[in-house]
This record gives sequence, C-alpha cells and structure tokens, in this order.
Amino acid sequence: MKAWKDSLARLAVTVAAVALNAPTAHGAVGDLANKIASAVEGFQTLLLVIATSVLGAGIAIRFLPTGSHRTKEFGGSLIDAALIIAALATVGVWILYFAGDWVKTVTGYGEIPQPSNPWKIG
Amino acid sequence: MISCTYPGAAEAFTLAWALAALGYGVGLAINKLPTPGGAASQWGGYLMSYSLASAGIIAVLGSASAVNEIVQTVQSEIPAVKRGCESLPDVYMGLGIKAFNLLAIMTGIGMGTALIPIVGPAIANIFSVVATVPGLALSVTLITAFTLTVFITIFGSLAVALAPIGVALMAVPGGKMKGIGSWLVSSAIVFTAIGPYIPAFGLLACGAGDIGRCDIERITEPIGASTFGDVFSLITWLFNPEDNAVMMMWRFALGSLAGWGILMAAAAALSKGMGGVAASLGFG
Repeated sequence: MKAWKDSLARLAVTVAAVALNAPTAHGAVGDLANKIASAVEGFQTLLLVIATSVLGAGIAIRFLPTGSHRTKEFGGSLIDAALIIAALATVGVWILYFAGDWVKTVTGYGEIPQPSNPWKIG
Repeated sequence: MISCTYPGAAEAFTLAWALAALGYGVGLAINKLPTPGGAASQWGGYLMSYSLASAGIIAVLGSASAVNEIVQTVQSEIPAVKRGCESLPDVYMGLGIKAFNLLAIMTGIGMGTALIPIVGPAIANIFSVVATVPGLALSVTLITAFTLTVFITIFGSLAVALAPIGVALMAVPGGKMKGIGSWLVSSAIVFTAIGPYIPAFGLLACGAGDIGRCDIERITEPIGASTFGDVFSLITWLFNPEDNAVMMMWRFALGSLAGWGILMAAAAALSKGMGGVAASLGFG
C-alpha cells in the first residue's frame, strides 16, 4: 500500500512539474490525449475480437450435439456475455456522451463534444 | 499571469474525455467478460459508473463558459465593488512598499536626530517613543501586504492555470486522482468568484463596516505630505484614529488577509463538498 501511495505521489509531482512548464505542457497534454485515444480505440478492437471469440465458443457449445444440459447453459451464458460486451463496447462513447448530455440538460450548463463515431475520441 | 476567468478544461478536454472512455472500456472488460469475477468484477462495474459520472463532470466543469456564467450570476448579486484580479498583486505590493518607505523614513529621522550634538539623543528618545505605535502598525501592514502579494500571485497563477489538468485528473479511471483534481478545480472556481472581492474585505475592515468610508486609491497612493503627517500626528492618533492614514492601511491589510482566509476556506469547503457529493452518489 505504501509503495502504491509513493508511486501516486511521484506521479502527482510529475504531473505538476509538467503542468508548470506551460510551453511543454500544451504539447504533453495533446500527446497524452492522442496516445490514450489510440489506446481506447485499440481496446475497443480487442474487446470486439474477444466478444466475437466468446460468441463463437458460445454458439459452438450451445448448438453442437454434444455436452450435458449444464454445458449447454454455460454456452448460452457465453452468447449473452458476448452480445452484451459487443453492444456496450460499440456504443461506449455514445453512452458517455448521453451521460454528459443528460447532466447538461438537468443543470442547464455545459458543453459536450459530439462523438464522430463510436469510440472515436475528440 | 493572474486571471479571474475560469479556464475550463481547455486543451485537456480531449484528455479528460479519453480517460473517461478508457475507464469505461476497462470497466466493461473486467465486469462483463466471462471470467472468474469476484471483487475484480465489482470494481469493473464501479469503473463503468465512475466513467459515466466523469462524463457529467466534464460536461459542466470542463466547459469554461458554464462555470463563468454561474460565477457571474453569483457576482451580480454581490453589492460590493469588484476589482480586476490582474491588479491585485500591484495593490498589495504598493501598500507594502508604502509601509516600507514610511518605516525607512522614520528610522532615518531617528538616526539623523541622534547625530545632532547635545540635544540630539534627547530628541531621538522622544521620537522613538512617538514612533512606537505607527511603527507597530506599519510593521504589521508591511508583513501582511507582502504576504498577500506572494500568496495571491502564486495561488492566482497556479490554481487557474492548473484547472484544466484538474478536470483531467478527476476523470482518471477509478477516481484515484479526484482529490487533487477537485482541489485544483475548486481553487480556480473560488479564486474566480471571490478573488476580485479581496480588496472589498479590506475596505470593509478599513471603514469599520462602512465600505464607502475608505478609498483604495488613497490607501495605496505614494507617500505624500498628508500621509507622512499622519504618522506623527498625535491629534489623529489620540482623537481620530479612524481617519489616520497609517491606521487605515493597517485595517485594510488585516481585512484583506481575512478575505484571503475566507477564500482559502471556501476553496477547501468546495473541494470537500465535491468529494462529499461524489461519495453520496456512490463514487467516493
């Protein structure tokens, strides 16, 4: 726990040091945002690949003429999980957008960027 | 550069949004993938809900116009005259320099009179007794004014400049950095809202509750004959201390310090309040 806190403190000091160096900070923030945005888009692809694999495995287990009733149920749950992951992963950024838009509607303040497509940041 | 305009998330908007999206994606993977779940699965759900809450926070706090509009609405209800934040360090630097110059002149006169043959030491003795009370008032004014100059300059520069990073820190998945982030954001909001009124607190104290009694330009104007006369004016010290220039400087400095204290307390309270609201919504 102490090591974790030390790392966090070091990270905070680094962030503050970067932020204090304003000309560097503009570039650093932009670079970091681009890297995280790329990571998010890559993560979405990974999630969809996993969801497709899980869906394939689920369909195979569920519909191949082998296995017990319990195994078939497990196959069905894999299909459910795959569909949920695919749906939530595909509309992820839109869900974030709607969350922000809802708060904006309730409070009457704020602006929120319109996502160009699912998981496309900025 | 000190500014009384809340900058919003500015260039960190994309970063905050990307962090919220990343938190949501990771939370989704942890929570919904058919793996042995347990505590990790629950944490995934927490990550997802925190990311959705972050999206709302980014929508409101990330937008500079939203917060500035709220601040302007609040300020329009305050009857006191506000002063541009950019000029605050100059006001208190001017006050401190004035107090320093008066003290320097008093010290010079004391030393100079001591050099006069025969009667000099006696005059210097009397002078030092007379100078005790104005010296005390000017010393406190000097220390307070320079302290305020430094605090306002550093706090006003950093809190407002770091607010965009604060918004991004609040969106870090899981809320591990939301304490630091909310402190930066709340500091910027409070400085934007209350900063222009710090001199008004000083004027209120200077006029003993009557804000129109003291004039900030007169308090901070360069040393003139009337100001220096007030330092040694036994009549005003004894019978009319409310209108004595040195006393006015002292009260203005102390009142401004009280205003600064209120600003810091408000920043801490808003930061704690943000954490409290988040906790009550289940994101603490």
